This record gives sequence, C-alpha cells and structure tokens, in this order.
Amino acid sequence: MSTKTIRFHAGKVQYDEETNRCTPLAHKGVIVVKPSADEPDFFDFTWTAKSDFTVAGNVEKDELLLIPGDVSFKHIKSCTSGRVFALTFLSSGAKYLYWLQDVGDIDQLDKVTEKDLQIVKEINDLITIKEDDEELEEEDEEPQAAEASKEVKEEHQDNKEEPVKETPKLPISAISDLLDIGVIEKHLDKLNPEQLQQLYSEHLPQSSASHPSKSTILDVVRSGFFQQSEQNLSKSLRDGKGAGYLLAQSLKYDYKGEGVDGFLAGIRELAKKEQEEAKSSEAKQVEEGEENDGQHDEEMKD
Amino acid sequence: MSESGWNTIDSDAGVFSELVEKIQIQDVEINELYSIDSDSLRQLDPVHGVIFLFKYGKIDRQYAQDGNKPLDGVYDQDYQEKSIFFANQTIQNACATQAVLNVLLNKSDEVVLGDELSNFKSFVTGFDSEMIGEAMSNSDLIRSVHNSFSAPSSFADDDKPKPPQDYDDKNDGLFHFIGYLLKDNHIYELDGLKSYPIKHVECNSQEEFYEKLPGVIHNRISKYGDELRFSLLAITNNKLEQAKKENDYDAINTQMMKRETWKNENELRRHDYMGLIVALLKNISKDLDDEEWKKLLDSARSKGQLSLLQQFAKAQGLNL
Repeated sequence: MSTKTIRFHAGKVQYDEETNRCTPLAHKGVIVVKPSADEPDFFDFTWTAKSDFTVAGNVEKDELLLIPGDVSFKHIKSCTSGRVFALTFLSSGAKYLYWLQDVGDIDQLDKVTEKDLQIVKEINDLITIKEDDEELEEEDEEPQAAEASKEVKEEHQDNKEEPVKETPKLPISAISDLLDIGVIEKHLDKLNPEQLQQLYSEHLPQSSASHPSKSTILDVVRSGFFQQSEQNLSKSLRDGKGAGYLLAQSLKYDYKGEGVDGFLAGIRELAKKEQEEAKSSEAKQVEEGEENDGQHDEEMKD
Repeated sequence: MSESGWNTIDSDAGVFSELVEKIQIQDVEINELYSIDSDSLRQLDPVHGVIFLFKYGKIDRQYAQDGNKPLDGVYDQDYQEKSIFFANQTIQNACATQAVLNVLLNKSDEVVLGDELSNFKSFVTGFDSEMIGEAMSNSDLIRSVHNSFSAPSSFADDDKPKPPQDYDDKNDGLFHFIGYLLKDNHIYELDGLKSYPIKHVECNSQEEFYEKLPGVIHNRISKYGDELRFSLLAITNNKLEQAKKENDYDAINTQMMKRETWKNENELRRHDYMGLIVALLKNISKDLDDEEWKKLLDSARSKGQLSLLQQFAKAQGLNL
C-alpha cells in the first residue's frame, strides 16, 4: 500500500443541482490525499481553504474518505474557463468539483498541464483497484472473445463520460427480498441428496451438517437466527460504511459499490466465474479421454 | 470483535442454563416462568431466585435522576453486614449475566458455586458494589462464557453510537434485568443500576417466598402502566437431575426434550450464517441465466418498494 501523500493547490467549484450551474469559488485552497489513519486501504481526502483575506466569506473544509473502486477523479472537458476536475462517489453518486490552481497556460485556460496530469495519475493509481488476475485470465481466452470484451469495455467507458442516461433504480433494501423461502425451496428441489451435501454441508450448523436434506436446510433458513444474521448483513450493506468493500475483499470479487445491489452483483460474478471454471475443467477431462462419471446427462447420449 | 468487549446476548432460559453450567455452578438451571403466581413458583421448587426482565422506561429514568431512589421498597445500606452480595452493573451488554450472578453469589449456602466463582467471591469480599461490578466485568472466564453465546458477526458493532439519553420508550432499545431473592428474612431486589440492595417485605421461609414474591413483582409491574414487555426467569436446580433422582420417567423425557431444544437453539444461535447466505445466493444465481437473474433482482427491488410505500402510508395514517 502506498504511504505517500499527494498535495496540490485547488479551489472549490460550487455545483447547483437544480440549475446545473457550476460556480468556481475564488478561495485559494489545498487538496491533500493521504492513507487513512484508521484504515490503511482507504484514503483521507481533504480540501482546505487557505486563509485568504482577499475574498470575503469562509468556505467549509471538505473531508472525505476515498474507498478504492468507489470513486473516480476525472477531468471535465466541457469546462473551458479553467481546469475543473470531478470527484465522484460511485455508490452514493455524490459529486465534488475542484479547479486546479497551480499555474497553467495563460492563453488557454482549460489546457491541462504536465503537472496536472501527473497529479491525476497519482490519484487514480490510489483509487483504482488493481485487477492483475483478471487481465491474465482474459489473455488466456480466445482472441475473438478478448476482442469482443474489449469492445464492450470501451463502449462502457464511453457511456461513463456522458451523464448517466438510465433512470436510477431503487436499491434493493434486503437480501431476504431476493432470498425468500419460495426461491430457496425451488432451488433445493432441483438438488439430489449428494448435491445437497456437497453444496451445503460445510455451511450448516454441526448437527444438521452430516446429511442435510431439503427440510433441514429449510428449518435453518426459517430460524430466527438465520434471519437475524441476514438482516444484519443487509443493514451493514445499506449503511454503506465499507461493509460492501470488506465483503468484496474477503469473498474475492471486484468491488461493485456499497449496498445490497453491489453485493449481489459480486455474488453473480463469483457464480459465473465458478461456472466457467467448472466448464473448462470438464472440457479438459473430456479431452483427456477420461470417463465421465455420468453426472451430466448430455454426455450420456447413448 | 475486541477481546475485552462484552457482546449482546439473548435473554433466554437455554442460554443462561448453559452459561451457569459453563461458569461451573453446579446443579442450577434457568426456567422460564409463564405466569407470576405462587403455584408456578412452587412447581419449580427449589427456586433460588427470580430474574425480572423489563423494558427500561421513562419512570426508571425519572427515579434514576431523582437521587437514584428505588421504585418500590427501601434501600438497605447496611447490606454488607448481613453478608449480602451486591455488584453494580458496569456494562450494559452484560446486565443479564450480572443479574443472574448477583442472585447466585448470595446463595452459596444452597448452591455449589464451583472453584472459579468461589475464588471470585472471596477475592471481592469487602469491596464496594461498584468495584465488585468492575471486577466481574474484568473476569476472563465470565466474559468469555458470556460472549460465547453472542451471534457471530462479520462486522464488529463496537463502534455503534450509543442511544441518546432520552431514548424513546417505544423504541426497542434497552431491557433491564433485576434479581429477586430471599435473604436475611426478607425479599430483596438486586438491581445493578441502583445504589444498594432494595429490601421488600419480610419473608421467613421458602414457602413464604413463593407466596409473597408475586405481589412484589405485581407492584413493580403496576408502575409501568400499559407496558407489556416483561419476562420472568426462575433460577432453579437442574430439573433433569431431579427427575432422574426421583425415577420419574415422564419428567426425565420432558426434561431431556427441553435440554435438546436448548442445545439446538444454542447451536443455531452460535452459528455463523454468512457462508450459508453466500452459498445459497451463489447457487441460485448459477441456476439462472442473465435474463432470469435480472428478473429476480427486479422483483426484490419491487418488494422493497412496496414495503417502503406501506411504511409511508402508515406514517401518513398516523399523522392524520
């Protein structure tokens, strides 16, 4: 983890949501980004006005916590009267605008300087989660698929540049709204005793773990203790104080923002990944001419 | 979860029975009392004491601010001379455990406390009630046994903001536990938040205790108006052992079943469900293609929306 502190001169830009107008404030200020004292994986972001008697009025200082993966720091190209950058929180949608105050090009006010680019790069290095593993995996894929996914990625990024067109959706408030008894029952119905054991044995309380049946699993799921635990998890996710990030780290999926939605999207990613892995290992087995043990109906055509 | 912290645990007969057993107190279990009358107490004889659980309300706060006076009964400042054991409650989360121990540590003539607690008791003899409470909250054994009953949590809730002082009565916030017992020919109330033990009516025998205690508790309940959230736990002997001694096979069966239920519940209580939640979600997700998954997410979203609207309607209704 980086321990370095980034510091540069910037002023604040007030943004009026109703009129969409941005008003740069004349106050001189400093932005400092440094690793958080409490949580070394996160960063404290502060903007402080310099004591400046040429401008009337005080501006409150900004103190923000940056969680890597949850924030973006981007140049607003449409602003031509200065170099304005937007700090956006992906989970909450909150946006903070700043204009860079280090000396720039006098003729072209919006021209980003070398130094600015350096600053932006440093900040982006801090707030981006490194995805080395994934890149490696992508290389393994067939070139066509890789190309296609690149295109998708590019399109995706293009979309990001513009203001979001999709109408915002109400976040999912509780895991139980998705994971209700009906859904669980339907899922368990599809499984035979061996599969039940293989999938759930390790996750059940000891006395029901050895030979789990559909009804023992449902009993556990119906118990107040399970439901309380599920409610606590939903609440931690809704609070948006980093629980989603911690879960992404411990379950090893790419962080998708706080909230139940982010968690579920992460679970979906894990599920797909596991399925891919299962498929490729299956394919390997078939290639090696190994007898399939008959678990999969498709393999048993005759 | 911090090593030194005390976690919230359920106030349940099964929890406290296993808890006293693990603290090495012998032949003691806790039974739920479903009604407050002499017959119910007699049926559970011998009852070492009764734990009264109630919602800490406005009236309790008023008395607490008014010189911390008792709601009923009188303070007995000379309790130490009568060798009454009394510890103040120093931690909110441990109040039930402390109430149970306050009663049992007064009953060393009826109950075998075990080495650990006997040592503790002789260690704190002569301390004032606050220091005893402090010593109790520093006991590793008591704390670790207490904490072993808390539900595992992936996110420590140590930093939760404390509820404001004028906490709303309707809010399911604080429950308080106090003990009633027979000691020195009186019914005493031991409330860890009060300054001294509280003396109620005179009482000279166990039978008289069963006769008079319901009245004392009814007096207390009458102070709370229409509040209905009370619960009573009787601290008794081990009923399974009793049934075995008496060769009462029906009772042995009933008691075995009761203990089986306790065991199962305590197991469910201690289990960490995180893995199960993730496994279920993941496996259900695997059953579905993108379209179906999206549908499922949307239906969850609309369920949340519906309950949001219901809450809104309810709030509106109340305001009208």
